[in-house]
Amino acid sequence: MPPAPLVVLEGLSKRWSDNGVQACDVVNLELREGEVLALLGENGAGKSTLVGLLAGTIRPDSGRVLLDGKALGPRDNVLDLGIALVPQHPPFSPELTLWEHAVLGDEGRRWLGRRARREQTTALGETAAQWGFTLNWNLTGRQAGPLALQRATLTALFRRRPRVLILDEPTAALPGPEAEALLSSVAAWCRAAKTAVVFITHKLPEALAWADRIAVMRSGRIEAVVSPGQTSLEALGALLFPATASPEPERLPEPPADAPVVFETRGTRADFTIRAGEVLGLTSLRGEGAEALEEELTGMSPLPEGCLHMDGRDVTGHDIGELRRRGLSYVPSDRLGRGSSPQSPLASNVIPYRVEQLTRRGLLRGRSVHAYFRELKARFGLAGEAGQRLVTLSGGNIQKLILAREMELGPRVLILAEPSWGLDLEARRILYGLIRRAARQGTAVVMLTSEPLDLFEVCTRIGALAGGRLQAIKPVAEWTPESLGRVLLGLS
Amino acid sequence: MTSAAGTLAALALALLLAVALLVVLGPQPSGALRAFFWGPISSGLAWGNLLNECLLLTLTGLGAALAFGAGAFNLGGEGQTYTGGLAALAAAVVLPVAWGPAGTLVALLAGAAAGLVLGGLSGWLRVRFDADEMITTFLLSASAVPLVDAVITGPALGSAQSILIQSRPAPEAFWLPGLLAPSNFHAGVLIALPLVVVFGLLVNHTAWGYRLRLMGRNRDFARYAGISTGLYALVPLGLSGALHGLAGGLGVLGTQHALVQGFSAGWGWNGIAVALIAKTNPWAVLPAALLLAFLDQASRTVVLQGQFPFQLNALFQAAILFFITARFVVPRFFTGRRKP
Repeated sequence: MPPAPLVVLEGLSKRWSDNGVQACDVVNLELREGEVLALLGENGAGKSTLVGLLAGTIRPDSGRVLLDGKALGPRDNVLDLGIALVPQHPPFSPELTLWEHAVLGDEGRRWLGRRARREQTTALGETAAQWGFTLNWNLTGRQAGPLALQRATLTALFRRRPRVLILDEPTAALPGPEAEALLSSVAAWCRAAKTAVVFITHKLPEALAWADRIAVMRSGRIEAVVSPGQTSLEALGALLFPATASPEPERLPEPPADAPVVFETRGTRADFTIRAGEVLGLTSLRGEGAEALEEELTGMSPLPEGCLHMDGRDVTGHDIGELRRRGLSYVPSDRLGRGSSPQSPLASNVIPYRVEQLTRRGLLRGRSVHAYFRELKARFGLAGEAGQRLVTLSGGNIQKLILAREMELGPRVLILAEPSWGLDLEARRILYGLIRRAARQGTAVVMLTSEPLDLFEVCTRIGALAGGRLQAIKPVAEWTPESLGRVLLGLS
Repeated sequence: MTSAAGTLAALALALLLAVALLVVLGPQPSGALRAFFWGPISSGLAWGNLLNECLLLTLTGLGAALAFGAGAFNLGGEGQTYTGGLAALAAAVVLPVAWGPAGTLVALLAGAAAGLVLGGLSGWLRVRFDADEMITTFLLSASAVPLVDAVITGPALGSAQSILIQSRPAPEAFWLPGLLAPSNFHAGVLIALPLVVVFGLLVNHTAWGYRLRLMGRNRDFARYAGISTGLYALVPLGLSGALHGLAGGLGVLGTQHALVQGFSAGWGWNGIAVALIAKTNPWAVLPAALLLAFLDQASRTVVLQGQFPFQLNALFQAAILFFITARFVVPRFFTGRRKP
């Protein structure tokens, strides 16, 4: 009879109320002492939510976590009970030193004088050395980079002898050999200490090499739990990126060969050109380079290298205001923080680029603003009334309003960042229709997305980034979800 | 309109507290209550003093509302008002008396300019160094006050025998004509009321005002929409300072006719309360200023009646500020940080 499991996750569900995403959908999972479990899944599959539920940092809507057969309550200090989470970006205080971070919450009643400090740093240093790294424990949170913080957190938590150690993408920022060293010590020390380990990763070979079991998540569910001996890179890739048997999407025609090049990057980490009427999808796994393009292509932050051309003119270093005047429109991934003013009425949210035209003899009249809103509403099928506050709309309707505002200008280039986040299927269908409409009207659309459906439904070309650089860019017909997955995972 | 109801509730709470204090602490509750509610409007003199205070609070409130509306917290109203008073006085002393009303206008503009420089400096620090204007306006104001004090008690000191520490008086030729004599009310109202209209139109009905309000509601959105956020931080802070400085100038040339030490005490802070009650809408500044002026005059009347210690006035002010700011500032801080 196998030993009783250390931890049992029983029917855990969590729906985020702010965007309506069902991040975890009745998840059942067991963990045994001393085993290493790898958690795989695309972006947004619910991995971080699941480990948050396990570590007690997120409250489930339903279901429970059992440790040694006893259910954890909302008031339990989960860390004291032995479940420790090392986040990908540990929260930190810029003023406190690393050793102060390490003893935080575990100070006891000792006087933290000079001697205690020496003892602490020595002890922490020894543990860190076991794990194969050295750290300057006197650096402050501000001085230490994310990597040092992550290592300090890992060391400190391991010294508290956890029964379950959870690592959220511990190797995302590590070069190959260091990642390997870290995972091998995690596996060795935790097996010896009978600590169960859960680690999230996007790198399949890591999971195959170091895990006892591999759990694959998709859309909030555990899709499969396999053991490394019984699977292969290809089989895992197929689990992660299944061949979707969707109806043949309405294909946009390739733009004519003489369509003008509208937007171009040269000498950057992702060089591409895009012609009027094209929809180019750029994608990567999280942290592998596509997110940063949102800031760089829109002038929100400067290009680290290379230059940007619009309609043949060099626009490198122009800020977003200048790029907008040249015909760039942009739908950000952060729709409430950046893409709109949530507390303002809908009318105020659609007119920022039209205030000059709506001004008559120096005055911006409510009547003309409302008339403009109604016109936009009719053209794009928007929801809501001019005076209604934006936050009262659903996520899908907010996105539609932002899209309408940006498209209405008839832009030369439209940059969309994660346009389908949090949208249900119907809202996506509308979104794709609007994108095709923009392309047919001659707009060059650049879509930065982590959503395979976005890529295969509307894009005419797809570019894949891995390791921060563009690896391949091809017409959509030359990609399959499997081949794309392989490039994203760095397998080809 | 739950937010308007909330504002009324906060005011009602403050008023309730005031009434409770009057009833509990006063030896003669009925007299105190009568003085409180009837005192400020019982005579022409009382009306004049009420309207004078309302006038000054309108200007400081307008200044605060303009900055808040753009998302810039100007906490330096006190110093800007005080410095504006000094600048207006200095101009009045220097200008030839023959200039008459033109000299009054120039002196008032000098007061506004002094406030403009103080407020604009904070705006510039924001644009250039990304220094938090909430800190810089406060610190600049806090350091301006003792400097102005030094001028009053030093080179500009009037009679050493006077009960009030105050400067030499401004030349009478530059005084603003009084209205409702012998009260403090004066012709400055002819400047303040048009300014309310000008800023009401500017903020609510122009492209510039739209961008300004967008800045106040969501600065990231404003930047994303291509608005020059630096300019929209600098200009409102400068104008806010100018309105405070103008209030200081009117206080000197209209009300005190000299620079009295600490004459602006409370106008800057109460301007913030006015702006918050008005929800940074210039149109609502006037009624909000009237309300606060009434509460202030009411508590002064009660104090003058002799039943209560002088500190009661400060206590009322504190209670009002507390309820109003708790209503507005706290939600701002709690909703300002969204999880990514």
